[in-house]
Amino acid sequence: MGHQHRTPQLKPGAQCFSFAEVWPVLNEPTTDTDLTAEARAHLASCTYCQGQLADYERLDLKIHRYLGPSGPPRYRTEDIMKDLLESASEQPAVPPTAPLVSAAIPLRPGRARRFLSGLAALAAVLVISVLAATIFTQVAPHRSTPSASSPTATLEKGSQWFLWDIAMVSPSEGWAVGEASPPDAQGGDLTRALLMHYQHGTWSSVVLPIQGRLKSISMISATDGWAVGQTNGVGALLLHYDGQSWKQVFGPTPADTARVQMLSATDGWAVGDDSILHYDGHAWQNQPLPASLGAGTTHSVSLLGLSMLSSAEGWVVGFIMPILSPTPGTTDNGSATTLPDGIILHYTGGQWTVQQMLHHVTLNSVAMLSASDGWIAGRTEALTPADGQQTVSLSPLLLHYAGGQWVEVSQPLAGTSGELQQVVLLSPTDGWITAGGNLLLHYNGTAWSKVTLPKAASTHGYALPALSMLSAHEGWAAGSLFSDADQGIPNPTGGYQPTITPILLHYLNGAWSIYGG
Amino acid sequence: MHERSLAMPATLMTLAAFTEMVDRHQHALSTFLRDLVSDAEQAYDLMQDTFQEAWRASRAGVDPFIAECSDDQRRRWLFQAAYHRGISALRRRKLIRWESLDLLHEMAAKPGKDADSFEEQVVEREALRAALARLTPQDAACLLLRVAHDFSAAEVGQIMGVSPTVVNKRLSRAKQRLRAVYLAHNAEEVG
Repeated sequence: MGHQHRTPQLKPGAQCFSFAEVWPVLNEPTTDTDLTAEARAHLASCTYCQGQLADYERLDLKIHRYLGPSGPPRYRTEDIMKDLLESASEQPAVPPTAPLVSAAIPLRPGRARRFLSGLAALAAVLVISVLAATIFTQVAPHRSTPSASSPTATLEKGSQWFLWDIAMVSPSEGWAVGEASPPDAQGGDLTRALLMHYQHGTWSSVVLPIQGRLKSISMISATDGWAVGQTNGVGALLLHYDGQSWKQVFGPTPADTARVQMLSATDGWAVGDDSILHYDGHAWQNQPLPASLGAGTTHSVSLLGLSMLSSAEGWVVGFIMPILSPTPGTTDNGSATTLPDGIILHYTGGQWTVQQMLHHVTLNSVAMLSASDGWIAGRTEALTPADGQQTVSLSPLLLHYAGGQWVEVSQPLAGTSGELQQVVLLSPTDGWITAGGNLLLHYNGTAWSKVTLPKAASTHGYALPALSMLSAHEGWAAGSLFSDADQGIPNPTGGYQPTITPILLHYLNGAWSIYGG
Repeated sequence: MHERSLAMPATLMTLAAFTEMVDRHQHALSTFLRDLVSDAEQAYDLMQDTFQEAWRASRAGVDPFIAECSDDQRRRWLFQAAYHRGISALRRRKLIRWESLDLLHEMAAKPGKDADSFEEQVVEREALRAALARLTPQDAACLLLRVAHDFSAAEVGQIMGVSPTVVNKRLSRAKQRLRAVYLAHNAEEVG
């Protein structure tokens, strides 16, 4: 290898090819022992393979020598610590080292006083104090007991609090999860996991001292549940609730986890980037993805939706994108805009297989009523030229599973711009889909129809990615309200950054209303 | 998997202990990131982000940045955090991989030199990095962690969140591809 003298390469024999994958890992403890023995026996009489093995051994030495941490460090530790401590001292509105704000939701910045007054305000303060003392001290044991903020505390202008999922345990209790960022948060490092709790008619919030965002929550009961999400590059965020407090759990998990569904206290599933995880009551374990997807090798796989019918059958949806590389010998640097392809995975017989792939779509969520009836919500994507560049246009997409196949079906938003996000089916004659903005679709067993929701105070309205229906008569939707310019902060490059606050809508006996509105 | 009940008391790391930990691992961490993302400036930022996250964890008394945990545990945490940050950074770049084909061609044209000379070290290192850039990020990371940074196969699996079988496959694939690219651009002297 390199510039060393080598004897001429002999030609490989028929058997040599069967060991080609073994030579690079011959001495690895994880290589099959029988295969290793077989390979060594062949090696004893094959000069071609001896040359191959020698090449790999020389390559290992070079990698270790030239790519390992050799020579003096490039940076001084004192400079690294100086930068680190300066950044740490600049931590703003939601610092991990300070008592976290626990407040009733400031539904509209500056207007939170409207829904609390007098004794109700006092009761809310007491509820929040108890909640904060219970949740917060478990999460940050080294803090002093946090002082309960005024229930009318408002978010600083430019703050961005998103709700991504909601799970109602009963008509009187539920949880919502999301993220909270202070104004001017950049790069996601200042984003913190956000929990909201509904109890006794009031929603209250706690920002956790954990960097990242919670994307999904699944409650087995009032005293057992899981919330999952992502931390900024560190790995998956896994939180477990035991009826007393939320605890962070660490395990062998990937970067982003988008959806969790618990079947019981000892059986749960979660999906995310290049991963499906299963919980068996003791630990979360990675499950093998279908090899044909090339996850992490030729393609990046983003799994977004999950619907398990039982411990033996379920469905997962998402999208797949090729991993781009420059094309050798051309000017193609692999940077062309590519569109995702939707994937539908089916779990049966103890393994996941690719059921269907759809061209240029993203599949956001799936809800199965039975093994032969289900729905998928998503969007189609198309490249359209605009101003000399290519932009991606999105359009809502709805699929129905019948007769063993997923087929596109008509829905009231076909041909419009946008997407269908979260689908929830209560029965064969009752279902809901969130569609962005103040719009839902409702299914009555025959067709989907539009349901217009109450307008918010701001002209930009709200987005509702999350839905939890308790019954045909009651449910909740959760999302984020975008403020007008006067409630936001100016952008240095023009325009403004809105203040984004959590919003919750309550469905009761046929009518939707904005909580606190 | 371990679960840390956030109600349990823990002994926080002192600033001196944390600084010592940074000193012990910063060279390896920045080298790993530099080889993974092929951009020295971005690698420094990612390393800094990793240490900042570790610092916040140490202030919050979270494993493994408490006095009770071992340096090995911290090293694994740092590399795991760095790996995921590197992969996320590469995803945000739309996974565009740049390679210095010119450098590889230069390498092939050079006459044989003493491999210990400074010039040869630089050329060898850059040739390997250029060849590494032809791998997928996950395969490159697996190779770097196992061979360049001496993590065990089990530790590599923990850092990358994959099973030992997947580590083995990635390692085999990475070395085969690296060897093919490296050999294709190296002149041979046949005696």
